[in-house]
Amino acid sequence: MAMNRRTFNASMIALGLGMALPGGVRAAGAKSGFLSTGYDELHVRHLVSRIGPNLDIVWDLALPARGHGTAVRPGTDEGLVVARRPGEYAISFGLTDGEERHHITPAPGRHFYGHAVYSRDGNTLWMTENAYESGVGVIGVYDVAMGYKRIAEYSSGGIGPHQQLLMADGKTLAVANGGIRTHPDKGREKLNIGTMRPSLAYIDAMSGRIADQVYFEDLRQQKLSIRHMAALPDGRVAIGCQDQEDDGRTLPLVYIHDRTNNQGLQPMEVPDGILQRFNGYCGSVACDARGQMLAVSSPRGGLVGFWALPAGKWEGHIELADGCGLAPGPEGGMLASSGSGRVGRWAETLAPTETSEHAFRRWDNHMTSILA
Amino acid sequence: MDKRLLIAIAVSILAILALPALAAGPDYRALRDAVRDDHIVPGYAHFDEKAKGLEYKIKGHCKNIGDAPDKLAAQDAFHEALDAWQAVQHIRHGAVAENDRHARLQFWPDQRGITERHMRKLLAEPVDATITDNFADASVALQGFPALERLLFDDEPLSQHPLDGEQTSRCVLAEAITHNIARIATELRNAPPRPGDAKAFVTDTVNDLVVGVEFIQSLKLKLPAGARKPRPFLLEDWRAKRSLRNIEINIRALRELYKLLAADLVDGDDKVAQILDTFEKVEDDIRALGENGKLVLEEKDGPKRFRALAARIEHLRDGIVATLPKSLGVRLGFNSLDGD
Repeated sequence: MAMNRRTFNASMIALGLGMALPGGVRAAGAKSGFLSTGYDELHVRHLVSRIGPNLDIVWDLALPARGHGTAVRPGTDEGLVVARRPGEYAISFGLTDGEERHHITPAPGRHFYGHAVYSRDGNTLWMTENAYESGVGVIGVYDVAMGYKRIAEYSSGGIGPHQQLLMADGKTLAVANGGIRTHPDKGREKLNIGTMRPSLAYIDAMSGRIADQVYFEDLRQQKLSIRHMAALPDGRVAIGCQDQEDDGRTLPLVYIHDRTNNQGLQPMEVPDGILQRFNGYCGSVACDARGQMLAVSSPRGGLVGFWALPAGKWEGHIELADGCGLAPGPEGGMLASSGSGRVGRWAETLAPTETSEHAFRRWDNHMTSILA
Repeated sequence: MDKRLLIAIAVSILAILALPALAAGPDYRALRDAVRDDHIVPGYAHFDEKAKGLEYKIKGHCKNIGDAPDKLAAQDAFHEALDAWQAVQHIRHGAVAENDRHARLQFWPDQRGITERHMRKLLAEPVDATITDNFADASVALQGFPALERLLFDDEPLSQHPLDGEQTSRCVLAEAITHNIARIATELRNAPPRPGDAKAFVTDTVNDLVVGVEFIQSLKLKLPAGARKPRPFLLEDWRAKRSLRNIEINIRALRELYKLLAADLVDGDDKVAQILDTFEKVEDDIRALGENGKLVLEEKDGPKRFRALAARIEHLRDGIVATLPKSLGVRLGFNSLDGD
């Protein structure tokens, strides 16, 4: 249905519910701020929004269904949002005007898993997808210049790929294979918890060759679905897991992997009481712009945990009810958002430097820095 | 009798006696069915009937422009249909969350007059004969009650012919809007029951209750009351002189919903009764102010009275949030419920 989305955008800006006027926002520069998916309780619609550097809402773009991850196309005024799994759309839009550009639908027998990443030159897009009849995880390869034409796909190295990163070499994708099989006919039901085997795969982005893959060795740990991650400046990857076993045991949920040694996935230190509060669930993982701190959110625990890098020493946590979205601030610090409409910036000292409340807004799982 | 047999019987009896206690958690299916059968389904059915009536009366009015009783009948039908919508406006999950139905029925608040701007633009150009059939593709701000309210209650009367400086007749637009409202109402009424888990349904319903109460205090009362000076043109449906009538209907509907959700709660300190009582008192207070919020707000102590009412409703909201989710074993949250 062809809705008039511009009308909607303008009206949301007009609402003034913790939002600034568009004039003030443009002055802040075209490439600044953050992208986030969200839900608007006022008009009962799912959105992708641009949040300005001063944490106001620059624009909203209404989505056909709940969104999940966002991405910024390097060197251009373009962003992308992927539907929440089992996703039936990905939409590219202008970063400046928030207007829809391309509407991408999954190939037959595929649905999107919620995350996408652009190549450094902005000409290729990779999306995690589910070949749902076989249950095999795949990476769909899209030619951006050809209007996001799907030109290839290759195995993600496991079942249920979720987030992926482009590593610093610009050639390697790190893919979190969550390990959980789903089928769109069964909604979001988990079909293989008994046999799941999550992994972190490093894939040559051009050829699809799996260069390296790491698994949990312990059977109990294999119930930790690897979902989200962040690349650290020294080439390591931090992952955040979601525990699928409800046996009363609390396992570490955050791990670091270093491809230059054979030590596998190394758990990050967390105080016992805090680990309990994570409640078996990590929402987002992010590393700040200076590479000095790692942040992992737990909406179920209502907190965000921080570790000092590179040593990985536990620094402490902040309380953030229903908090989930994380993104590095342009000049250090960490942005975090919540399902109750809060978005704030926390300095390396975990002190809030700026916070904003957006009424009747629920910020969804993830945020992306536009200048990341 | 064998002593062991006696013990076994005693244990069995105890186990049976203990069963209701074990099963004492909320029966989500029963709650869902009660909300659906006693609140959502009759609410949408009533709205559908009134929306059809509105479409019919607008047609009648447009056939006999200049006939005062027909105009009054159309305005009455508008009020009845809007009454019925206001009684279900707080429902934000299920069919109304699809295809922008909620925003298409009532695009509000509209602080910048988007509806007005789009309406001027549409009236200034000649429209296609298929406007009524394709109206779902028009701007959401044009599709529902706020646009119709302008046509029925603003200075310019409805007319079969374009007014000076306009190329589309106001009747054509009014008929397209009412047909669209009636179509959405029928879609809501005929939507299949929401599939899936009963607990998720109850959770969404509790969220709707809380958001519904917040919506009133924050947007329907505090926003027009203004921080420094009153802003009566931000009142909902001020043109039809019924801002407070809307709130009274909302509060009554939210009370009914709360009553359904809290029906089986074992409540030692009468919290449920207190909340129900507060709902009633708030409703009485609103009724005492009359239907036209703009009149009240333009009085000297109007903004103060609006803010006092908002504070009571905020208190009511806090009381619900502090007790109901916990009693029902649900948690309000967006990301914490997600699992992705």
